[in-house]
Amino acid sequence: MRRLMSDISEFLAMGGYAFYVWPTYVLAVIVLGGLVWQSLSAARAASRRLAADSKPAGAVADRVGESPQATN
Amino acid sequence: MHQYANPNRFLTLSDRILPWLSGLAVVLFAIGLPWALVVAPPDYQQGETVRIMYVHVPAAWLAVFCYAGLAALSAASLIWRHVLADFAARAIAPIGACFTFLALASGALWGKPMWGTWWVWDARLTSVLILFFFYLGHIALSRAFEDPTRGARAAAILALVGVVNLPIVKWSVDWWSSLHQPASISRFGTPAIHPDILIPLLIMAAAYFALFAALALIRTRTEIWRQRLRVLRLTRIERQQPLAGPSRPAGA
Repeated sequence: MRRLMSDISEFLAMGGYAFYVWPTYVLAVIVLGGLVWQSLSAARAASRRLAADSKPAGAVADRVGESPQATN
Repeated sequence: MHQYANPNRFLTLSDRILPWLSGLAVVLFAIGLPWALVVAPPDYQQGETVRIMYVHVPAAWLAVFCYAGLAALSAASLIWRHVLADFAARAIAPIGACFTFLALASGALWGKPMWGTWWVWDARLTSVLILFFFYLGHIALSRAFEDPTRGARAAAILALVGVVNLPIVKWSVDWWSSLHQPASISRFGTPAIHPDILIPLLIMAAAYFALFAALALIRTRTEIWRQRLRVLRLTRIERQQPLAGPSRPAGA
C-alpha cells in the first residue's frame, strides 16, 4: 500500500515538472473537450430548430382550413 | 433543389461515418493518453517534460494541416462557388484555432522548463502566432456579413493570403536559428526518434486526427442545417409577401 502511494506521488510529481506537465494535459482536456461540447450542442440546436421549423406553423396554418381536427 | 444535391449526399454519408470516426477517436485517446502519461519513458535530456510533446506536437501538426485544408476549401469555394466548401471552411476554422492555441500554450508550458522562457519572438513561434491570428480573422470575417455568401468569400480570400505563412511555419526552424528544435525528430535518438516515444506520439497524432475529422463532419452538418433553416425562413417570408400585396387594393 505504501509502495503504491509512493508510486502514485512519484507519478504525480512528474520528476519535478508537475507544474508544467499537468497543466498541459488539463488545458488539452479543457480546449478539446470544450470544442467537442460546443460542436455537439450547436449541432443539436441546429437540427432541432430545423425540424421544428420544417413541419410547423406554415404547414399547420395551411392545413387549418381543410380539416379543423388536424390542428389538435 | 439541385443545389442541395451534394449537401444531401454529404449528410447521409457523414451520418454513416460519424459513429465509427467518433469511436475511433475515443479508442485512440484511451490508448494514447495512458501510454503518453505512464508507459512512455522519460527523455534522457528533457526528463518528464517530454510528456508535453504528446499534446504539443500533434496539436501543431493539426494546426498546420487544418490550415492547408482551410486554404484548399477556400480555393474550391472561390473557383467553383460550391456551398459545401463554404460550409466546411466555416466548420473547420474554429477547430484549427483551438489546435493552434493548444500548440502555443503547451509550447509555452514546455519552453519554460526547457528553454527558461515561456516565449521567444523567433520565427517559429511568431509564425504560429500569426497562424492563430489568421484563424481568428477567418472566423470573424466569415461571420461579419449579413449575407453568409459574402462572408464566406471574404474569409476565403483571407485564408488564401494566409497560405504564405504556412511554409514559414513549416521550415522556420531550418531557415533561422531558434530555441525551437528542428522538425526532424531525430534529436531523440541517433538515427530516428526512439520507438518507445515515436509509437505513443503517432497514436496521439492519430487520435487528434480522428477527433479533427469527426468534429469537421459534425460542424459541417451543423452549417448545412443552419443554411436550410435560413432558406426555409426566407421562402416563408417570400410566400407571405404576395398574399399581403393584392389583398390591399381589394379592400381599398
